Amino acid sequence: MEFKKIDDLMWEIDKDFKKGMNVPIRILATKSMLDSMDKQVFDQAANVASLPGIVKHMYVMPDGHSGYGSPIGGVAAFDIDDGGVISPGMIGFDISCSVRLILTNLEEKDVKPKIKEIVDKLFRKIPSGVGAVGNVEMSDEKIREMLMYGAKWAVDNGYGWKEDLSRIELNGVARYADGAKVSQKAKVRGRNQLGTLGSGNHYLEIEVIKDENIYDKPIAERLGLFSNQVVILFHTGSRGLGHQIASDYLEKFNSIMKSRYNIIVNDRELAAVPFNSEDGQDYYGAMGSAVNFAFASHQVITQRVREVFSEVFKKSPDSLGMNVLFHVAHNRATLERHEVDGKIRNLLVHRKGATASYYPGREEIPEPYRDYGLPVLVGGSMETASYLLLGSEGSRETFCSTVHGAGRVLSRAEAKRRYKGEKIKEAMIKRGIYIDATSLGGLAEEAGSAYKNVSEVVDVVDKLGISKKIVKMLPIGNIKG
Amino acid sequence: MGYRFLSDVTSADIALKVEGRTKSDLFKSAAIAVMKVQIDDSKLSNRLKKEISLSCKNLDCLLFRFLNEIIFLKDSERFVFGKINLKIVENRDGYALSAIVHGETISGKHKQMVDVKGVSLHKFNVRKYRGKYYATIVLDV
Repeated sequence: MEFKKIDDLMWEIDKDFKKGMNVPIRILATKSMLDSMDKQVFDQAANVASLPGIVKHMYVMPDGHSGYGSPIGGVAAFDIDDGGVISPGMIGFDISCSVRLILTNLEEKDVKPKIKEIVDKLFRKIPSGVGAVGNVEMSDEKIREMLMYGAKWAVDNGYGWKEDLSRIELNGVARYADGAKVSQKAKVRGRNQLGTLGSGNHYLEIEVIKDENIYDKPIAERLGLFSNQVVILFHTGSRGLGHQIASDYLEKFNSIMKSRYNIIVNDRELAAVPFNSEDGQDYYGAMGSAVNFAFASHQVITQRVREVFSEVFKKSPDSLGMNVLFHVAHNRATLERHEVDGKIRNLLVHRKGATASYYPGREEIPEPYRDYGLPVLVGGSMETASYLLLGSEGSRETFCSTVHGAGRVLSRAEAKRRYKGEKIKEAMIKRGIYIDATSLGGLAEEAGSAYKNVSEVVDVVDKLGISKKIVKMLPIGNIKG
Repeated sequence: MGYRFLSDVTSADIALKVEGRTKSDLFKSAAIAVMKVQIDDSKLSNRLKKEISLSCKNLDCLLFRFLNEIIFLKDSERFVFGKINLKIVENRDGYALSAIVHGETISGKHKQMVDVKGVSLHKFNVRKYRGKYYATIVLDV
């Protein structure tokens, strides 16, 4: 396979690589990252590059690794005025899988002596693992409203603060949501799971910002960040509800895309229909409902985190400064306007395992951050580090998209063969990270060494000017499903 | 008969190769594999049972729907199982499946592995080769 070098950190695979490709593939990576990417990534990216209406390039972020349908770390934009499609497999089953960062005014020295108590209490209060059931009573009427109003519904029902809303993408509500397009099965799965963390790579972490890990002090200070500060970061999505929606529409699109729209795809997982069609709009409305579910679920977890800290430190969450800094998704399709070949076009930007990274001034950025660029939260693997970045001008290249995490280098099966959950837990505790996990097997699959080095991944987008590094956060406590 | 993990199909999720002497064997092995990925079934009792009936025009689609139904039971009723009786019959419209799964509700006594959230159609297939049935399945976890 031939990679054309565009830049030290950008590589291109030509349209001739696979029959049917409409655009070339661009990969953002160092040479060594590129060499170590598993070959499935390029084949999966080529399948996405063959979908109707895709413009400019199919992008693979530096944390790219093989998934299903599209690689994780995949970005593709479709011109909706020129037959561009919507594809559930290019969004991911865990619709609106997201990361949220909550601040405190506590320092490491305040929290470290109580870390075991905090982690144990969080572990009890936030259900996680296989078949976890949430602790929010949901009637049919409540589900209907929640799917329509997302985080706003949650705040109106006592989960979180009004001020949280302007610190969430889309201000916490996907206005295009249409709960009527969500199956009863999806609603049943969602009813049980609001406010649960899940398993796999989902986790909640207590982290510290060390002085040497603040890369831009004036901006960090303006965002409310300071040296030795303790923050809480968590990663979860739309749980079974989002998966059921994706499965329902995947099956439907496979049965109708050829007969109704004459669309043929290389991989059934990438089944797609034109965005501007009744079927496309149905999925868009259903996807929006899953986005709202994820917003609401994050609000419930935020509330639990505030309760636990308040209980442990015997102060109100308000006086502990527990504001949401931001909430960003990395599995979603979003309607945006971008310039392509000198013309502004209406694009449906699909990001699967990729985060938006809007440069300053864009209207998608909630008002408090519009002059800064979109806050981007990058969760590393559970035992390494996380980053806060800000979207910057270089993101014009990638439809305002950036990395979402470290990206796997080992398959789950291989990680499990190499590592033992108990040993990882012991080693983490020795290194000063207190952990509670439902599954030790799951812990082995998520071992830090199963992932790329998150710092190297982040450096690529920082150097390309796509997202600027602001702070790095190191874990001191972790709960995992 | 049984299943094995594939490590060259996907790194983010779980890929399996399942085989069976008959169609029913294949479906049983696939169902048990989906359970074992999630839970250690050594302490699982079979005191509750659930019935599943499904039909579809081909075996691919039947297996996809069947595995999704199992995942739905786990999320909606927290039901997991270790034993399964299953029959597949061919009819004019394709295939019909009827199964009885024996298990119980997930509790603290069960050792958990990883939650399966969906069945992907990436590389998904069922095929017959030299008298045996094989399936490739990628599970989203």
